[in-house]
Amino acid sequence: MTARSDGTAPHHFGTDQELFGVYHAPAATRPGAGAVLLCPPFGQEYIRTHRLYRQLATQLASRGHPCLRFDYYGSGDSAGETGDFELGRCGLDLQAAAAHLRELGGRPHVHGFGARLGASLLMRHATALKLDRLVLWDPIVDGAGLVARMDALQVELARDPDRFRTPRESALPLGEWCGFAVSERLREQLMQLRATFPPLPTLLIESEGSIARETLPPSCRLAPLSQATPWEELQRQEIAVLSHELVRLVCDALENAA
Amino acid sequence: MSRERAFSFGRARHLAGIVGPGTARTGVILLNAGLVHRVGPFRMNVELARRLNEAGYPTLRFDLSTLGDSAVAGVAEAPQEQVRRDVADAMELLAAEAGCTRFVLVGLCSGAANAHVVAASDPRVVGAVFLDGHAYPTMGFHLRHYLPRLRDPRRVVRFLGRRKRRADAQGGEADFQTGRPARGQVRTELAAMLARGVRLSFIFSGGASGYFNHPRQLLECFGKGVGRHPGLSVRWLADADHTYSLAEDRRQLTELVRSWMLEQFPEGGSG
Repeated sequence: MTARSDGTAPHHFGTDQELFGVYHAPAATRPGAGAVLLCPPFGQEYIRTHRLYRQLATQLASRGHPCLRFDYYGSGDSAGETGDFELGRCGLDLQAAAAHLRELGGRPHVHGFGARLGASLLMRHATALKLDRLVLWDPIVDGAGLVARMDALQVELARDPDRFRTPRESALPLGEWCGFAVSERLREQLMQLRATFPPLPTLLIESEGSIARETLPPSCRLAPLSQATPWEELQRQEIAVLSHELVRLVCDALENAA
Repeated sequence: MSRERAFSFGRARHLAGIVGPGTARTGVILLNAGLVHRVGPFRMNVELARRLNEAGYPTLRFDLSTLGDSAVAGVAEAPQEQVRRDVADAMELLAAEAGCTRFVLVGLCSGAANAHVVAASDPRVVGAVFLDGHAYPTMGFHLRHYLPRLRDPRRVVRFLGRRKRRADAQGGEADFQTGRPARGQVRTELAAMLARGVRLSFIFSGGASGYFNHPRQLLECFGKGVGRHPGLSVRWLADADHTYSLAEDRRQLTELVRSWMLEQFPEGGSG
C-alpha cells in the first residue's frame, strides 16, 4: 500500500481483504499525536457524512495524526450486501480496523471518533480496543427509540409526494430505512441497544441535547454544536452533513490531548 | 481476479476507485451521481457493479476529480475536459487490470450528463446507460403533464404545495445543477454515437417527471433518426424516485441494466 501525493491510500484490509479503508498518513510531525480511528454511522448517514469524515481525517493528518476511515462489512466499498450489516460483525470490524491502524500508524496512542451509530459502537468497544480517548458526535444511546423514529421516517419517505408520483405503500412493512435494508437481526440488536459511556476521557459533541446529563461520567466533557444536525429530517436525507465547527472541535480536542 | 480491489490511479494518481472482477472484454464504468461518492445513492453503484461482475463484466466505480476520495489533478482543466480525462484514466486502469478493450458508461443525473460527454468523444466507449439523462419537454410532454392536472383541482393544489415546499427546502442552499446543453447539440451527438455503433440505454425514473413522462418522448424531442434507432432503448420506471431510494426499485433497475448488457454485449454471459 503506497500513499498518494495527498497522503491518502485507499485499500482493502482484514480477513480475506473484506474491509475497505482509506489511510491518511500524518502530514506533520508532532510528538505525542495519537492515531485516530474514524468510525462511520450506518445507512444514509454514512453517505451523508462521507465528505465530512474525509475533511476531518485530512485536517487531523495535517496536525500529525495518522487516521483510518473504513467501511463496516455490508456498507460502503466493503464486502457484503447491505442487508448483512449487523452490530456483532461491526464489533469485529472495529477490532480489525483498530489493529490495522496501530500497524500502519505505529503510534502508542489510538483515539476514536464516531458519529451516531459509529459513536455507539465506540462506546461499546472502546475499552476492549484499548482506545485512549473518544470524541462522540450525537451517539445513539437508545436503540429502541432510533428504531421507532426510523420506522416512522420510512413511512414518511414512502408516502412523500415530492419523491414519488404515487405513494409507495408496497414499500411497507419496514424492511429498510431510507434506502438501506435493515435485517431482522439488526433491528433486534438495535432494540436492545442501551449505550453507556466508558470510563475514558471523552468529548461528547451534541447537537440535540437529548442525552441525560446524569448519565455522563466525570471523564466526559460536553461540547454543544451551535446548530442542530438534521439527521432525521425527511427533506434532508440526500443532503450532505457538513460542519466546519465539528471539524474544529474534534481537532482541538485531540490536539490538546497530545 | 476474484474479488474487488481498490486503486489509486490517474494522470496524477489522484483518483480513487474499486475494480470488480469479470472476464468479459467489455468493462463497465460507473460514474458519480451528483456529489455522492462512488458507492452511489443508497449504495446503488455497489449493488449494480456486483451484479454485473456476477454476469461476467469487469467494473470500475470511481470518484471523479475532487469528489469522494479523489483529489485534484494539479493542473487547471475545463470541467468537461477534466471529466473526459478522468474517464480516460479509468478506462486505462480497467484495460490494464481486467484486459478490457471497450467500455460501457453508467451514470445517473450529472453522471448521465458526464457519460454523454465522454461517449460523444471517445471511440473506446461502445455503450452508455443514461439514468435520468438528457431529454427535453415537448408538446406531448406538456399535454400529458398539464391536462390531467387541470381536470382535477386537488392535483392543482398538490402541485402548488409541492412547488412551495421545494422552494422552502432549497432556501439559500447552493444549486449544483449545471445547465443542459442545447437540444440540437444533444441530438447531433446522439445521432453520431448511434452511427458509430454505440448502444444507448435511456432509463428514466418518476423523479424525472418534471421533464420526461413517456417513452415516446425521445422520439418527439430527437426525431426518428435517434428515437427509432435500433441501437437505442428507452425505459420509464415511473414509480421509482430519482435516486431509487427503495430496494425493490434498485433491484428492478439493476436487472434492467444487467439484461440490457447481456443482450447488447453477450460476451459477459456467466450470469
